[in-house]
Amino acid sequence: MNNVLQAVVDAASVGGIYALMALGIGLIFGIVRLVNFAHGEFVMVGGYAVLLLAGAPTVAVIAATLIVVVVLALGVERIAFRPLRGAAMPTLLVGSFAVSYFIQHVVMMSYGGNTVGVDFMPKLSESIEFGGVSVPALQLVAIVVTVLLLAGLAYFLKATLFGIEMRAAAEDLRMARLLGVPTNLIIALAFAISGLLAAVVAVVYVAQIGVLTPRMGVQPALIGFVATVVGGMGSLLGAVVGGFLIGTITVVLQIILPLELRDFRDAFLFGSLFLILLVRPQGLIVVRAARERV
Amino acid sequence: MLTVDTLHVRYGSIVALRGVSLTIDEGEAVSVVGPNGAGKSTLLHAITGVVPVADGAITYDGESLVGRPIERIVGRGISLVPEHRGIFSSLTVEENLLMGARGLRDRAERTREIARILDLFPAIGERLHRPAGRLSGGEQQQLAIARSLLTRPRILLLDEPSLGLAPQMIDLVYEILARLRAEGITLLLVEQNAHRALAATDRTYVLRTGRIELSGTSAELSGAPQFEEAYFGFDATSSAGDHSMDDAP
Repeated sequence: MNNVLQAVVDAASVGGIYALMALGIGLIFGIVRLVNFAHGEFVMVGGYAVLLLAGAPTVAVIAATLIVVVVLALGVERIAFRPLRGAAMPTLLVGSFAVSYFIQHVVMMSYGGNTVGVDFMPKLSESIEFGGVSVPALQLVAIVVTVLLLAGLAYFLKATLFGIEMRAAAEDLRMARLLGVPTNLIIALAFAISGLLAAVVAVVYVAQIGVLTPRMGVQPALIGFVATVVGGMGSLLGAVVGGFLIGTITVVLQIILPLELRDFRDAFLFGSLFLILLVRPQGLIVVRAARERV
Repeated sequence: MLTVDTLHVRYGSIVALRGVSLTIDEGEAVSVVGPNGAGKSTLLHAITGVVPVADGAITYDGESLVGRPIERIVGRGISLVPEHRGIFSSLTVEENLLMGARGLRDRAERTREIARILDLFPAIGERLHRPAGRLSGGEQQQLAIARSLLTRPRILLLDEPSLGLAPQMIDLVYEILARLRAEGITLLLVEQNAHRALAATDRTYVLRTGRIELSGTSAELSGAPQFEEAYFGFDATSSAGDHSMDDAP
């Protein structure tokens, strides 16, 4: 029983982080049809922002990290992606890889390519007794933060005029413009939210693993992208479901795989995702607008 | 009010409009009819800035619209109800209406204007919280018109409002257009369904393969022999009556 509860907490905390990654990527894809691989670099820059500010009060470090990453996301949108608006999918893809590698190498120039250690919020690694299981406090924080962000984003998209405009623009950008929706502003806002999500992932991730490299964002971005595809490209709910699904599969594999196979966990993870896509190539949740447009 | 002068539009090497000129005065209802592929939608897209103008002028209240971004043009009081209606199908009916009313001052005014417009369209008022994609074709067309009216346009452009609708629904849509016309809204109506368009407007232009072939008051053109000739591009009177003008698919 305790093992089951432990696994659920693990799956929720890992899956929550993947869900936030998938949302950050899915939000941008929904509106501008761009798969932003530089989303991983938003996380990575957030990690280095934490390193740079280490020593300052925790709240200040978190606030500054959020600001740095949001400004970076807005800058990338304005400088790199806005001029490519409406370009063909391969062009957008190459553009996003270019931005991704550019940011990685700028950080490499400043900090070198080697691993750097950061000791951020060490108290959160201590465990809390919780219903008979002992859970690292950080896992609980990750779960709570994920739930709050998902609820906040859902409220924004459902109940505010900007949020409804964002959904309208995601479904039919031209029609939104024909109704006077300021799409440049809405797209910039989507990038700001995406940056905010990446910054939160950065803070939690850095506290969890305690080391930084310029390539640390690549793996989470890949998982986030896969989560959006498995969940159903263009559906934000799908991105969240996909993120939690991948988190759950990861944790389950960690438990059921024999010890000598655990090093190859990701092979089993991606193999099972491949099987899901064979059965449901359109993803778990299908958006009509996305289907019509492809 | 709106003047289009020797307008040319190209898609790559394909010429869609070759020297189209027309004028619409304030309070007038004007139709542009023509067969599929004549360039009717392209004309509306050029006016609203959706497609670039290769040559020629579009003037609205003495000001050029050529090269202006879409948002700026629609902000001047020109609203397009596009072909296939452009409904946001994943949004609710109410959210779609809100996108029309988004430019109004505050929440109270948006709510008031939406309530007022729903008097004209009672059928959609009963379905405010449904996803708009679940409405019938006729209801979606009403929603699209209602949404456009909420932007408070001075001129309403309609692209094939009868397309794909059942006959009673077409009747309903044209009743709504008649009411708007009575209220003095300027209308530019694009249709394949020529009989309907002629009956609903003051003046009509016949567009075929990117050129205006004929124009005149709708009363003059109804039943005139040169009308079918202009529409179909051959002498319709000599080739049996198997092409009727109102059987657009």
